[in-house]
Amino acid sequence: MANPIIQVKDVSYCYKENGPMCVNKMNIEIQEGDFMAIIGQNGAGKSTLMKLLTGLIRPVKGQIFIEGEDIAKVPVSIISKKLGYVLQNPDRQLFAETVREELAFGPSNQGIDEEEIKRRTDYILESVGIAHLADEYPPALSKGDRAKVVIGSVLVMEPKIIILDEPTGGQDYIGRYQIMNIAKKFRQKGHTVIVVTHSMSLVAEYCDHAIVLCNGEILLQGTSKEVFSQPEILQKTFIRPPQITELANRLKDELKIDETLLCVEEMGDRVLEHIPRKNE
Amino acid sequence: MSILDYHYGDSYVHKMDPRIKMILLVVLTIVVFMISNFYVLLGMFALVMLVWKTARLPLKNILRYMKFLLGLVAFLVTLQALFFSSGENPVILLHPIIPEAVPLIGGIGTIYLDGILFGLILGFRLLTLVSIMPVFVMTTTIGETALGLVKLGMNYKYAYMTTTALNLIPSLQDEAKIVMDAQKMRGFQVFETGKLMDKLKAYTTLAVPLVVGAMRRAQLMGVAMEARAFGVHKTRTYREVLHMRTIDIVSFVIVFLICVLMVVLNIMLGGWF
Repeated sequence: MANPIIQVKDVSYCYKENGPMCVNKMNIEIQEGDFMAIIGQNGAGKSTLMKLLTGLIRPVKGQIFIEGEDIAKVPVSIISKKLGYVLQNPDRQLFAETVREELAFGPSNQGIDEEEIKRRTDYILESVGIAHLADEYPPALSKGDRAKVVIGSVLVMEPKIIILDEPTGGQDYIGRYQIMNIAKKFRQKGHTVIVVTHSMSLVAEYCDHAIVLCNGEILLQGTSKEVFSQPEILQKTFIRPPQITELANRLKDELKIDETLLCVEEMGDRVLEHIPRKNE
Repeated sequence: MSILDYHYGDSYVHKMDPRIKMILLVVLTIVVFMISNFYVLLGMFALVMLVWKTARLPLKNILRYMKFLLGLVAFLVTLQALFFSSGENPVILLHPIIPEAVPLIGGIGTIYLDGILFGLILGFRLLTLVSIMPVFVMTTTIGETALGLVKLGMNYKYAYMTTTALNLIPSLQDEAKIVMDAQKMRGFQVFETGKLMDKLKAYTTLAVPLVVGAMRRAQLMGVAMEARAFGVHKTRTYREVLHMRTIDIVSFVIVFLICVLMVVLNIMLGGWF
C-alpha cells in the first residue's frame, strides 16, 4: 500500500488540564485520493480530530504526519498549503467585500501572482457554481451560497487534502448534493477529501471509507460497506445505517443478498432479479 | 478561563446579594479614582485582593492580565516622565534628545521625577481598577445581574440589554478566535508569525465577520424573544427571588467604611507618596 497522506499516531487531546480525553490514543491512516467520512454523535471528538489535523490545536500526546512530515511545530498557515479546512459555520469564514475577493484571500496570502489568482478564482467560480455571484457581498448571500463560497475559497488554494466539517448542515436537499458533488469533483482530480457528517446516506453515496468515533475513540473504521455492515456496533453510538441498507438487511434471506447494499440502484437491481418479468 | 466568565463557586461573595455587589462595584471604582496617594492606593489594591481571596477566585487569572497591563503601565510611566506638564519638583536631568528649536516636540528628553511618580500612580490605579470588575463578573451569573438591576429600579428591557451585552463579550472572544483560525487556514500568517504592528492591523480584518455575526445573532435573538412575548407587559415576574441577608448588609457597611477611611487617609496624607 502507498504511503498514507495523513497518519495519526497514538494521538490524545483534552481541552482542560486533567480533564477527560476528547481524543484518546487515536491511530488513523488516510490514503491519498481517498474520500473519507468521519461520523459519530455530537461530542464524539470529530471536530477536535479535525482541528488536530489542521494544527489549530496540538496533541497532548502522539504525532500527526501529513505527507510524512510531523506537523507538531509547523504553523497553521503553512499547514494550510497542504490541507484546506472548511469550518462548520460559513459566516465566520467570510472576510472580504466581494465573492471574488473572498476567493482571492487565500492565494494572496500564499504569495501567488495576480494572473494565477485570477485564473484560479475564475475556474472555482465556474466549477462551484457561483460565477453569477462574483461581485456580491458574501455575508448577504443565502446560506447555501455562503457555504459554496467558503468551500470555493479553500479549494482555490489547491490543497492536496480538504476537510469539510459538516458542510451540509442546514442545507436543503439540492444544496446538500451540490456541495457533496463539489467535493466529489475535487476528489476526482486526485485530491483527498475528509468529510465530517451526520448524514449516513451521503456517506453511503459518496465516501469510500468511514471512521466511526465514540467518546473520543475509534469505534469502527473501514470501507463504507464494512462499517455499515455492522449495525450492532453502530448501535452503540446511536448511528443507523442508511435506510436502504437496513431494508436490504431485513430482506437479505428473501432476496439472497450476501453483501451490504448502500444505494437504491443496488437494491433495485436485487429486487428486479426476483420479480418475474411480464414476458417471461 | 477568562476574567469575564462566571466562575462556579459557593463562596460568600458568590452568595452575596447582587445589588450589594453592584453598589460596592460602583463605590470601589469611584474611590479608586478619588485616591491619589500611592500608599492609600496600595491599601485599596490589598482590599480588592482580599475580596478575590474571599471569593476563592484563581489569582492566576488576574495575574495573567496584569502581566499584559504592565506593558501599558510602563508606557504610561514613560509618557508621563517625558511630557509631564508641571514638572517643577526635582528633575532627573538629561539633555534634550530633540533640540529646543524643533516646533511642538522640541526639548523632549528631560525626564521629570514628578512625571514618573504620576505615571506610577496612574498605572497602579489602572491595575486596581481592572481587578475590581472581574470579582463581580466572576461571582455573579448573568441572571442574577439582570435581576439585581431590575430590583434596583432599572426597566427590565434595559436590564436585559445590559446583561446581554455583558454576555456577548466572552462569546465575541470565542468568535474572534474562530475567525482567526479560519484566516490561518487560508494561509494568513500574521497572527502566528507577524510583528506586533502587523498583528494589530490584522485585528481590523476580524471586524466584518464579527459584526455581521453579532448582528445576525441579535436579529435572531430579538425575533425569538418577541415570539416568547418579551416586552409585552410593563413588568414581569422572575423565577428567582433575591434575599438581602444581614451579613450582606454588614459586609457592605464594612467595605463602605473602609472606603471612607481610605478617602480620609488620602486627604490627610495628601501628595502622591
